[in-house]
Amino acid sequence: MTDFFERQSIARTKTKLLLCYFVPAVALTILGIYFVVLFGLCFHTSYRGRHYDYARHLFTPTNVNWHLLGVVAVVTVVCVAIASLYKASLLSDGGHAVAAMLGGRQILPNTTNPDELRLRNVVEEMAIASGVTVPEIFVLDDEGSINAFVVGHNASDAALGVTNGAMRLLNRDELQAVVGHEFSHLLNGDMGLNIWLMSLLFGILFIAITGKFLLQVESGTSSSSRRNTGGIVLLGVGLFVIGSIGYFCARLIKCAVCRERECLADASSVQFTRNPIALASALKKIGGLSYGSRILSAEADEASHLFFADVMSENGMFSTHPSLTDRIRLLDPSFDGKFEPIQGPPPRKVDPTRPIQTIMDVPGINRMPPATVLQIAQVINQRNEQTPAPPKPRFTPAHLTYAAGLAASFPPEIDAIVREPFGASAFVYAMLLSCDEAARQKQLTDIAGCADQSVINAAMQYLPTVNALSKGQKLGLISIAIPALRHMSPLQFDSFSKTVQLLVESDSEISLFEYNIQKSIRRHLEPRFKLPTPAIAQYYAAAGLSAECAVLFSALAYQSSIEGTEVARAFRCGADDLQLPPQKQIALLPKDDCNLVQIDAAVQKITQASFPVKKQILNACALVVAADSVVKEEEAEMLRAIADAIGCPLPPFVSSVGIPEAA
Amino acid sequence: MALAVIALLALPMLAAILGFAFYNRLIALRNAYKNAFAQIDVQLKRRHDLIPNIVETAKGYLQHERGTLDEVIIARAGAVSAAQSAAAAPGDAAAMAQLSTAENTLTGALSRLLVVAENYPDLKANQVMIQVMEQLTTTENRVALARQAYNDDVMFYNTAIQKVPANLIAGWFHFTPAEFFQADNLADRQTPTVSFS
Repeated sequence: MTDFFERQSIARTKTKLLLCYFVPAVALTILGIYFVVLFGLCFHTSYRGRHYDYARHLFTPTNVNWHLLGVVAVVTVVCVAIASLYKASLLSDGGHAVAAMLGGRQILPNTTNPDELRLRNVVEEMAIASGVTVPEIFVLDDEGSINAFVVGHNASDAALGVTNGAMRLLNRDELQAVVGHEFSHLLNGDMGLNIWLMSLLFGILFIAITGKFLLQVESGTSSSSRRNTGGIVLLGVGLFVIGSIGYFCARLIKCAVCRERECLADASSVQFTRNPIALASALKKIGGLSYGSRILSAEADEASHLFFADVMSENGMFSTHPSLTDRIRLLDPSFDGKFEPIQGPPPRKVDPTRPIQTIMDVPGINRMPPATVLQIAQVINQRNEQTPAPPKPRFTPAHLTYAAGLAASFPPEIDAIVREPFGASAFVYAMLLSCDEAARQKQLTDIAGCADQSVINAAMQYLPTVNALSKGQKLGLISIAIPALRHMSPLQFDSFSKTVQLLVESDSEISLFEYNIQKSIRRHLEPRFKLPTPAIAQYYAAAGLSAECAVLFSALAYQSSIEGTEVARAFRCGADDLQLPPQKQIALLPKDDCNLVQIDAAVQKITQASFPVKKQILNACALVVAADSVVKEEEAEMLRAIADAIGCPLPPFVSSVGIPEAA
Repeated sequence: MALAVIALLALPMLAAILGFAFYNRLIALRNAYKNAFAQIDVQLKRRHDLIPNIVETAKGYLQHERGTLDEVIIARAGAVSAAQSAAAAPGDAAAMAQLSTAENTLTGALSRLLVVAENYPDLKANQVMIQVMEQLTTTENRVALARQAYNDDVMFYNTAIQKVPANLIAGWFHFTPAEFFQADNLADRQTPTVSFS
């Protein structure tokens, strides 16, 4: 089976393939428009002042009017390009913007609605298990069908949406299977592909839209000049017809690329949850529902490839998903093809007088009882005894169980406050406040002017509980806190990040944990509040980053052992794996040369590398950690911090699974 | 001639695309403040739900202060309905003004109740009362933060619809300025204890 990087590179190949399909589609469209324009010009009989017979070009297609064809080609390509770029810029606003465009309503992380709470918990567990931050969750309120989607540019920008029907009609296992399917789109690299699809296809469809627009304009104007309007109507009709050709091509392209991705996503979901029956049962419910998975929103057709199941009742060649029966048979070979009809959800009534439970008195909502509640200390002990083996497993059901157990182990008072901006900021401050009394006083004086006093007081209040949390719990809670922090205003975020920086820099040394938190916050929150700079790969060979690799390997090697020879051996494991050319060979750096500041600088550069290079470097880092067959907590933490900073999420370390591969 | 055709098509298209870009930005800013209001709504609901606990606990002790208690209950009902209508139309001037007034009335009634409760040490020592008051304080803080976020987003939106190229789009598509949400904190209303020593 393939790993994270391989899947990503396959996704990229598919994207290039998409472009190959796209070119003949545009060429066909240009030819079509050429003939339509020619037909229209037949009524216009002079060209450059002389009598010109366009009809001869029309009826003998081999006699091409190159001038006209050139003009048509240029205009068409320019229109398509501009339309595609326009759509891409619309979609560049981020996953949450696209989800809102599809009609989604965001679920606030601190919701009290039991259905929404259950969905939120399922998504949180899956996010913790796979090592990504929790995506923003949306609900399509007006859709009674069962469907789901995920949009965005990458894992930290993702927005996951679910229809009202799915939220109410599926049980927890089925919901987990559907969410797993969407997460596997996230982790298989389909996000970028989908954005490309939407932009390029909009470019082709633009012709049809223009045609329709011309027709509508025409029907409104008075017939002051018959001859000219005749031509324009014909042009409109013609463009619309041609646009339909474009539409046809667009459908074919979507299907060629999408059906395969959907099969892969189904398979990956089963891999994560080891529960094929749940996914099959969700699909059966779709089959049994009278409106199945249909989405009524107008934007749905454009975004049909983003969804879990077909949004229109298509069949055969033009559907973006394999047929329901086929999908179910792959999961449950005993399926007999008959769907049991089920009742749709009752219409959503908003009852303003219904008393809403406050977060204080909500009982334990539908939490999956963890099969084995892993005590965190136990996990650490077990980790020290394992031997990481070379073929590294990815995100597995063991991770899910670990995540469920972790989620159940959060102290209730922290769990209740961490999903809203006030509590989440207080939690982050509490994690960064020092245990030492004097240092803490200094930190408090430093941030007094910058942060809100009530938040600081809350942080002091939660300090004892937060200090008692384990590293694993803290990292899990941060992943949950980040969506809540997105709800701050940009000004509030400015003062928040300044406060975080002051807290971290207040004692003049940074610990790895503080570095991790600060980096996480920057990485996952800044794109929301500041303009993201487009990432262009600048390094295509590891040799160009040899100095940075030396810093990372040395830092990891020093974490693994105190003995000089062990450190050198660990370093060698990583360095040899890179297979650098002789003039670029790296050596172990002295301890002072690989502190966090240097690690940060190295990571910044590596983030600009191309994907295969990142994969190489991360693999080599994992080998450094695995060199002495003992994975200490600090090593694991550093490796995860590095992986998160360069944009490749690593699942948490779970005993009996070894060092996970990027999920 | 070809050049003329291209120019004729390209310029209005460019203008249209710029127009779309501004329009979409205004939509995004408007959605931002409406979502920010949703946070305020959650916190206000929590605040309103704490009031019945306070009233129930205090009822036993404040037998002769029915007026104050009733004032709180009525103010809460008014605040609940104002919050609902504001949630239906966040940013609308009338709805926000009504919400501000209703919340201020509630804050006033609560602070008067607390002043009266000062005279009843049994009530002050009651465990449930202490807990609920603690929750109320935290909720007030949360409301303040959410209010600040909402007002920031409203400010960005109002500025954007006044800036030059965008104000044309704003005018054509009826983007109206949004109203801020100003309300007092309970803490600000606590009358300072005066000592004559």
